[in-house]
Amino acid sequence: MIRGPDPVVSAEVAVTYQEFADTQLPGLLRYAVMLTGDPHTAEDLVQDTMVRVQLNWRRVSGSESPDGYVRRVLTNRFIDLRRGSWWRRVLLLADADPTRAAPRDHAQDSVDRDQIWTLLATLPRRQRAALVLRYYEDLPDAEIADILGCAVGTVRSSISRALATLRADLVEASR
Amino acid sequence: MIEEELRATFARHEPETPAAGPIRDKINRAFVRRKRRRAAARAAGVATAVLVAAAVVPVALAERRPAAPVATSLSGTPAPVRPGALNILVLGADTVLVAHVPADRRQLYLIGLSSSLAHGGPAVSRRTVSQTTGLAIDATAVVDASALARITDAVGGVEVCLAKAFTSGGNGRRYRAGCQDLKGSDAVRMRGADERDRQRYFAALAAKLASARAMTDPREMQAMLALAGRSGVTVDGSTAELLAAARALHSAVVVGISAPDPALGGGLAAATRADNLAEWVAANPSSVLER
Repeated sequence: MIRGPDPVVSAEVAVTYQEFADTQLPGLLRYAVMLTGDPHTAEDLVQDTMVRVQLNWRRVSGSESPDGYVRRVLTNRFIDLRRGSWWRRVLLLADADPTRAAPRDHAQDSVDRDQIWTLLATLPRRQRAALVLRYYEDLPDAEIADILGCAVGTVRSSISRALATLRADLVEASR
Repeated sequence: MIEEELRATFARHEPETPAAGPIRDKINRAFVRRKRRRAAARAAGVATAVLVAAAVVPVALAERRPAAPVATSLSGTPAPVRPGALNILVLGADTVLVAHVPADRRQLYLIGLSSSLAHGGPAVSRRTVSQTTGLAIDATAVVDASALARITDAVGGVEVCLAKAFTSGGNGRRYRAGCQDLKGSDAVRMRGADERDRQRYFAALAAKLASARAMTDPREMQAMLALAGRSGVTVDGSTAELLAAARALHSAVVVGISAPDPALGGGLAAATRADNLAEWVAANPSSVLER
């Protein structure tokens, strides 16, 4: 007997939210740390995203790639400040504390090691997201474009712009 | 190479990633809280839905091709979301309400009007209400008593706290003052009841729907709306427009207002026209319908 793919059955084998969280949460947290540069902000971002995901689980699990869908939601929430009150809170706190020690107060050794990490924070969020998706998540440009909701060409140009900024800043810093 | 340094930087910071376990628990707790809040808000919206704006949902759903995926058909049709406020006249079970949907869609005001305004058919009632109150009515929804009764029974009846005892002109039943459980057929036949008491039934139904566990499940919600049935709820006005408003209302706060007089005096009509009811409600707390 020849058995072809059974689209009806495969469509019904939808992953549950709990299964999804089991497999995806650690990776999402790592991704969020790279995006935000800070474990606490990353935690907030992931929590905020996953609550939404769980509330809309039916739509998420019905999408072509739940994984990509969630990454898109998380990335957009990271990029778009206006939407999330948690983020505004974070920013306000940061603004209200101008005396906060700059990372440069660390030992010189760790400053050098973490120069790129520090510089990443100065990039526009969209550019940082593109860098993380390519150099951390190792995604092809087409998938990055999908997550960022833009054209592949835009992905490439924002990555090269980001790299140029980083290079220039590194040269500047090494003087 | 900066690319390699980037990869190394990311890898170096990987160990800072917080552990997933505790965060998962936090997410679940936050989810439960949110869902509870949303269910309450949404169910209140659904109650009105059933009663009011989303009375159009079954109609709209029936109009949509069942085979079409929801997302496509919703996003595929450019919904003419009118930015302004909407006034929807609701006629049902001896009760006349204007559902005022503010432009920001954050609240839903149910303004209970005198049932004396409902004479003749929906079109006549609409004209009467419009002339008396000076409000532009964007749509009229007629909810018949049996649809309301079915919905009421589906949530196991409602507790209504009546201010005055009365004998119903509908079923001859004696209704005592005070809080009591009413099944659907009794709740919708309160002819002769105090105006505010009848409006209280709507408030009680909204509250009951809000606490119904069924309301946390969209599928159950659909079933609830289906209960209203196409025949039990008729609507004129732009379905797409109302549906868009109804969807926006899912997280709205429902505020019941009992109009002080048929002409919506005391600034109520003006506040409604100006889409400024929040201020009016704050200044006139006694007109807010307590449950």
